[in-house]
Amino acid sequence: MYTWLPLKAPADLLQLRAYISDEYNPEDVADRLSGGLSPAVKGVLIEENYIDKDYRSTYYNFYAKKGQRYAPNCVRLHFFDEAVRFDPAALKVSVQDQTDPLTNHYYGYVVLRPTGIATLGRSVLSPNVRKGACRYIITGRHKVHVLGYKLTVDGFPSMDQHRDIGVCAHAACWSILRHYSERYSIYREFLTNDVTMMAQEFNPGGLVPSEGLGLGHAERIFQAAGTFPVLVVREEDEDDDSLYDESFYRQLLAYVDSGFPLFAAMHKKEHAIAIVGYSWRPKTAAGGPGLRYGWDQVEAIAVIDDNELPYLSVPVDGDDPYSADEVDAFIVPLPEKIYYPADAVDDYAAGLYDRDSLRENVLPPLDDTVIRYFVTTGSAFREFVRHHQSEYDPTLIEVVMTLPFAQFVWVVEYSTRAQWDTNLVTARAIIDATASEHEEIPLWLIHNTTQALAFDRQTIPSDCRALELKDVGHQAFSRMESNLRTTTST
Amino acid sequence: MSKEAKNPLDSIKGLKKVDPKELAEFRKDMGKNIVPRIVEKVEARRLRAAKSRNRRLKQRSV
Repeated sequence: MYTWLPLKAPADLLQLRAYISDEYNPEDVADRLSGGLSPAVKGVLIEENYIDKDYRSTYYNFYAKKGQRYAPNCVRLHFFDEAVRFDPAALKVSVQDQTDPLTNHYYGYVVLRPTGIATLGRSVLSPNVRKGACRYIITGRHKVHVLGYKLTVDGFPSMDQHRDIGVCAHAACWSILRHYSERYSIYREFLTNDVTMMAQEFNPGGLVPSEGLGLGHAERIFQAAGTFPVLVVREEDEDDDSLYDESFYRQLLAYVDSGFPLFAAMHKKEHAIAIVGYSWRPKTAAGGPGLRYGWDQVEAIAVIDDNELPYLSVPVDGDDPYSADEVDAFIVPLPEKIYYPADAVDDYAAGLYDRDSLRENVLPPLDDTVIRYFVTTGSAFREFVRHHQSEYDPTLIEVVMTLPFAQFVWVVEYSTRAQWDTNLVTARAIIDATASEHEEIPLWLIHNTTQALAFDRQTIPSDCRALELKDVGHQAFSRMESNLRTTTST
Repeated sequence: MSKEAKNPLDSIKGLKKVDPKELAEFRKDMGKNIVPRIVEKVEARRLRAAKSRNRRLKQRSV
């Protein structure tokens, strides 16, 4: 059965209470959706008797065994913009302009589980309709079939924790793994119950999973799913509260900026979330002399928190609902072939200032520099340079196209503070992501607008060539921002 | 790879070979000042990770 609910404003979502039965906890669902979605949503298609694979995985393994009767089916809510109409007699969803594909007007879906509590199940919503979402979000394209239409939505998966057979940490692991299986063909899909089972060497059975997960369990889940997890824990000193491990947060940003969602822990709250994006501050934050980093320019991080709708914006300065500073450990599930870790890049990028020739001729002045670093593929870097080829000396383009990069590279961008505010960079270093942390020169390339050093890593030790660059009329290069999606949420 | 193997950068006009002494000095500087710092930092991170694996995360929905 299908029902259409037209909306004039998000507050109209409260009417969902009249259409959804009590086992789906309509009061809570309507409150959360009306408070969290933007006015861009103008219609909801309510799909009843939806068979949800994730809920069914928990139904077969848990809910069906209980004395309390639980329904096997779910309700799914689909969200559309103002151009969409529904014909209940013909069960047709259409766009006024018939040449315009329906999928262009689709904002995603939320599955409701018949569990009475924590009913928000598998959901993929566009960050464009989440009130206050951060500017940059990691997304994947998810296929959706409804009423014979094949739709897609770009978003990040989320769900409430089940409470009884899974906690926040299970939900965060599931979100990240579902993103991986949809975005990258090398990863298989894991259902909710699979994730619970993967945490242990044996079937924990009963309600044991509800007692929580350790970081080691989460690491095990990511390992079992075929990723290569790296656990990073903030440095703390019990006798010195003022210790602030800036490098920890710089690494956190670097991995998110690389397009890798993070499993993040806040131990004081015993809570786990997934970090999936960020927003820059409108202007460079004031600060004293010395190097500054991308993290110093971050205003908020975007998280998937199983207590909230997706893309919750968590401020760096502030505590509503909590602060980004409360994250004290994270796991980044990396693909194979990233051996050079972010903490090594953090030191190496700053260490290049120790070389007189680089400090004086290539890099911007140390006290006026903002450093940002992230992973990308060699081919994505080449594509970026090709797209901005007018900014580059043709010989430098030839070098970029010729260097035999491994699959992944670290890109380090050096900007003056003024350039940072206009998305420009002075100089760029390309580091081999397959390098060892013991290598003295893990570089493929370092350049600004006047000179470049290219390293041939096919020999040991690597060979190096220098290039004087022609003036092509650009004083700086565009910042590379292609790993995350830019959202239009307000 | 043999010594005769062709450097892929050889085919690009305008590139000049960097003085091997200068390159060796670069390598020595980084090996002396930066690499030990990196190795120590990475090792410290691994130790902190090893000590933290049993911390529990279990907040209930509110």
